[in-house]
Amino acid sequence: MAVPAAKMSQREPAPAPSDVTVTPVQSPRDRDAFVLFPYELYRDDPNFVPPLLMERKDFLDPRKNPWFQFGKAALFLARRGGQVVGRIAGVNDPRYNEFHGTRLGAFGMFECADDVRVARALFEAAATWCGAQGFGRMIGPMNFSTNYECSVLVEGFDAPPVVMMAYNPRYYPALYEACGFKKAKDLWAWELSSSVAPPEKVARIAEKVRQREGVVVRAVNMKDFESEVRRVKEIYNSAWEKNWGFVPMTDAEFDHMARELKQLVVPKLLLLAEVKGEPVAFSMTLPDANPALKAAGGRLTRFGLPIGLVKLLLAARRIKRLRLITLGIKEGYRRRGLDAILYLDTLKAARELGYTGGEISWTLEDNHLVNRAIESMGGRKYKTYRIYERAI
Amino acid sequence: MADIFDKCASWKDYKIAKATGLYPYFRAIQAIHGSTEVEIEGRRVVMAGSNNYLGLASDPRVKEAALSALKRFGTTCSGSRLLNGTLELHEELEARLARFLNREAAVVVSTGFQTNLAAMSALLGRHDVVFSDRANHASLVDGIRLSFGEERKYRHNDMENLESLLAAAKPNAGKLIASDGVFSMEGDLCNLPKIVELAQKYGARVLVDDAHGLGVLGAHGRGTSEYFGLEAQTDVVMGTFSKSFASLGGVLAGPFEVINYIKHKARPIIFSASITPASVASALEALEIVESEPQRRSRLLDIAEKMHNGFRAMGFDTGVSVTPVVPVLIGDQVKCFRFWKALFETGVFANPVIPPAVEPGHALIRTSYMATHTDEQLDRVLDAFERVGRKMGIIPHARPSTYVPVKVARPGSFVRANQASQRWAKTSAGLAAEQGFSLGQLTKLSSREMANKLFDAVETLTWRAANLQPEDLKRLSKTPLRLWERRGEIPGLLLEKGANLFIKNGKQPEA
Repeated sequence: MAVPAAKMSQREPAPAPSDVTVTPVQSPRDRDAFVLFPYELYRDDPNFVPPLLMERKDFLDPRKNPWFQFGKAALFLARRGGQVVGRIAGVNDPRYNEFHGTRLGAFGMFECADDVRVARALFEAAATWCGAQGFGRMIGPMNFSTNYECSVLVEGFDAPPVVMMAYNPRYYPALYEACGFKKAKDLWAWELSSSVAPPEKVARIAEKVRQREGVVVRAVNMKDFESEVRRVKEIYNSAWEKNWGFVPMTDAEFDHMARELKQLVVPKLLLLAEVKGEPVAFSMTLPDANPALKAAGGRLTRFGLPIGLVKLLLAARRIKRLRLITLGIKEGYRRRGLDAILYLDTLKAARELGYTGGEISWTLEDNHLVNRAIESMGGRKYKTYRIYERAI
Repeated sequence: MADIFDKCASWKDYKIAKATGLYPYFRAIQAIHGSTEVEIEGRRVVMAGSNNYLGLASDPRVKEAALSALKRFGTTCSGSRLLNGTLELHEELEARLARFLNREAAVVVSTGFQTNLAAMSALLGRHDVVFSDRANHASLVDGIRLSFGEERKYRHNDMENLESLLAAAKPNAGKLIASDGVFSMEGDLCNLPKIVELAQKYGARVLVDDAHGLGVLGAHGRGTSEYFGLEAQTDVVMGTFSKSFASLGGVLAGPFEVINYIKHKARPIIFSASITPASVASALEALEIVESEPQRRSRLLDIAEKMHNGFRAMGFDTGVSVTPVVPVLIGDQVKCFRFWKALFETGVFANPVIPPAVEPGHALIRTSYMATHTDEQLDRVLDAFERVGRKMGIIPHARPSTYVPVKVARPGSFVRANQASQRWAKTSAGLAAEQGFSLGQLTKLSSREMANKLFDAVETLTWRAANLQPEDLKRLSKTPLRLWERRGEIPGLLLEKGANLFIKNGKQPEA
């Protein structure tokens, strides 16, 4: 069903006449167009990192992505004169609403040409869909929850994104705001160089804690992957439960994520902290695979030859940066300096492995405890991401 | 120089179907056991694919009537109705049919197919327009091609489409709306009330091909127009003897001048030998039984209801049908062949219907029933479908918790069609075609596009290989064993996956 954009924005006082049509994705051909659109949109953007085409297709495939076991998403394409000019997904995450006791719709996968009429038509399509699901407000972008890529980059466009972080053109925040979105929360990304030595004081305290509490930090044992994943999952889901926007992962989601990350991880940078044999804290630092992905250009093969794969593997050997992606401590073990121990050990391992620095991301803007800790380690806030919200 | 036989030599479909053992056509029946069970290739199977709706083809009274006519008049009339081929028997049948159908006159023709050729070619002149349902039987389509009239096709049972075509036609042109009464593959009825209304509004005549409705629908078996109570408004009715009437041939019934004109002008009638005496006599006797034994019709509709609901309870999709034509949606045409084969091996004979008889992606197994089927035979059919359907993954392993019960076209119910499921509607409208990959599309691709398809396939395979997990490998290691266990099905499975590359999916490439 094609809905003329002009007709949809009925709440707007005088909707600009527009020749943009927004249609739901129905055929496999539409789905391909949906997945392929960003490659076209970011063609001339030097910082854009093209995701692997097949990975994106699998992500949207309800049979492959375990998120769809509970969540619902409706994909829409905006076209002008047959040309795709934007895309969006309406997102219904019942687990989020159950966990937070809210009735909140969401949207995601938003990509759009620099045209507020297209953006408005897309948001209206997502809003109408969310409204039909019974929601009064919507939040986003969520692709499709905070456990995956989410948020819009609003500050720090000069550097390319690190692995599994969002990236978008500079004009997106303006589009959101022109369509009535208000900030829901900012997420921060921090830059850290491994050549900067941590302050003496921090190191001293960490050492003391290690002695006093009997903390043993060890790398994850890849040979015992299954049970290690189980331990990490327990920490992950209990460490984040109080955080804004957090949704616990289902077992299927977690296993799926673990399988995907398994190809990427450096075991020495996956650290488990144990107190008296009980795993209580976990930190995961990943090599920033984005330069390698960029080299592949979205495909493992070209002309039937594994050109992308070879480029990817060659570039992967030159990765010099890291992303500290999660650091979680079980309730009851917080504020004891466990985080400092994990930071320091990660830093030490990174230096030994020859990495020059990296990013810590993302942290909630109001998670002062963590933000202060990162600052005290010599981190510099260099990117701001934003999650928006509006009434439907 | 092109040899006209080249296309025959290069026609691959048959060879592929034959080589994979999936060829379903021209199966010779070796013996008949009361027409509800037959023997094919030494295997006794339930016949669930015959149009012998009332089960009269093996009725002793009908057989006896045929025998006595054979003895009286010989094996054939050796000539056209127009000249030496008319017997008293023919005239008696025509008079009886005209009375049965409440018409001024009727003419009987050697086959049902020819009957439509005759009607269309004789009735449609150079300035006439015929409005024809897209799902109409091939004989109507060919009859129109044979005529000089102009054809306007409307989307299946889409009355808005029909009206817009009627409105767009020249007001002073002669107009005929031609539609099947019961659509032979999907089993739904035409929207006769609306067709009649539009015909009156736009000054058109109505012809209903009631091949599958005569003897089955209406309290007296007079077909679709009786069922809707619109006999007076339906100008010409066409019927065949090869379904409910246990014979071979067709009939046109209508106003005397019209039938008389067709009788003298239609070349499919005047240049064809008349129906054999035995066939006329069988039809006559069958007509007697159709009139005197209405319980056969109600039994048939009971069976239709039982079978529809039986299939639906298992999770099959029987679509829009409201009649004893019970189609079961399969989808892919090769899967349909495989299903048909498995069904035959389980003891049921039904008909695979593939493009171009239906839209690509809408292949179905067409089952049809006789009033003489026993409940035990019907349960065997249901059981066979359930087993094969589960094995081939067409229905879930556990029965769905609910299903929408069927509505059957019993006299007085006025239902036309059941609500189609989304999948049925989509495939029936030809919207599934683009998911498949037909040879027609393939021939349209440039070599560059073809190469890109191939490269995409390599990309997909590389991605899958790069993502193999230990448990996947474990599963893969069992594949040879599994393949060995299912070795009989491999050619069929391979064909199903690669079939659309070889077999034309029905749609011709558009020039």
